[in-house]
Amino acid sequence: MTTASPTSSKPLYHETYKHQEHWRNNEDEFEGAKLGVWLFLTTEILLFSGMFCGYAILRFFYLDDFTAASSHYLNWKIGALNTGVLLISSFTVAMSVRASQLNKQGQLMINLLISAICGVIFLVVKLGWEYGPKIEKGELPGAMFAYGGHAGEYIPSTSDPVFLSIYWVATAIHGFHVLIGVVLLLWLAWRAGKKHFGPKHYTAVENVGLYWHLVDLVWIFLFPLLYLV
Amino acid sequence: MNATAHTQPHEDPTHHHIASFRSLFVILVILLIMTALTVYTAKFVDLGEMGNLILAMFIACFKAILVCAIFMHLLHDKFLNTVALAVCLVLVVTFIGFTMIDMASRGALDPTREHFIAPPSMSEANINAAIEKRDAEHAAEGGHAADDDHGADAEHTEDDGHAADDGH
Repeated sequence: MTTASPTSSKPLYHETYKHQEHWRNNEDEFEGAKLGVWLFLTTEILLFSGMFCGYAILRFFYLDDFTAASSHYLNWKIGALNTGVLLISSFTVAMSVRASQLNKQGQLMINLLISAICGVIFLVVKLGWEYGPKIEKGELPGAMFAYGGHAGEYIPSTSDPVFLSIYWVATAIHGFHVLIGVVLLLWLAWRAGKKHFGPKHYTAVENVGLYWHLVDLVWIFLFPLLYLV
Repeated sequence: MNATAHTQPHEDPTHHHIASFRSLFVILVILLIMTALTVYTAKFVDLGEMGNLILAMFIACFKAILVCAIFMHLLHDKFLNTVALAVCLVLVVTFIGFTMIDMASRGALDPTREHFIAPPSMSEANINAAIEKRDAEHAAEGGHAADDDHGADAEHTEDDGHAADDGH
């Protein structure tokens, strides 16, 4: 680490960033870190594939009941809204990578903050409009399901608690990933405020971006499976 | 798409590909349109139980490819990252695919309860009622699952053969 001379124009962190000692150069470090994140993402895909596999099995068991449960318990408009929110945040995350590559610090900050806000909107919609009313009405997974709480002529089928189980498990684990993503995006924004990222060094922006896109990818599959078909 | 990117490559000392604003924005618009299309086809066009599911998954895969290729830069990235993802997807397909083969061949092992494995909360009487109802429905459709024993036996022996073929 070179100590910057105490002049008024102290070089910025991203301009003088030096790789860790065990890497040949910054580029190797960047690519190595990125491959590491990709490997982590593959484990994430395998984690969620367990839920998709469970969904496939249960759907195989309860063909019509699942469709009926889906349209009774879930409002596709809320799901579609959240899909749009996540897609827009994916776009702004991609834009923030671009902004750091071009050294546009203001754009970087704005895009990171928009992405984090989109993540918060997703969680607020999820918790406030879905989880909250569901908990009140007893539309809970498995044994916690309350058969009595249904107004109107809808008669819950025995497979409804099963559908709600897969719904709660999949969306809650996905929501937890969104929450972690929001924290990471705010961390990036805080570091961007200290001018840590620029064309020569934006490893963290790139890698958090990859993670955020994966969260979006999982939702791309969860949304139609749970809310639509 | 590359026109804008090529006007500014030298600002990037690491020579990483810089996605143009236009390409990113176009992808976003396509993704949103595809989402609307999924909602429309799934909710307002009836393609049958499986038809809607398959179409929705087809669109989702298309969206996923766009996100991976452009947003996650796989298109312009080291090929190794794509390999990591591809290996993972092979595992996922094996995992879900073989589970589905198992599900589809359950009847070969238990002819009386083909495709029907009851939740633990369900009573024996309800299970039998559900099986009877299903068989009646099949019979009403004139479907292949005839409920007389000879037909069922013959068919399941056949299924056995298919299942064994699938396994290899």
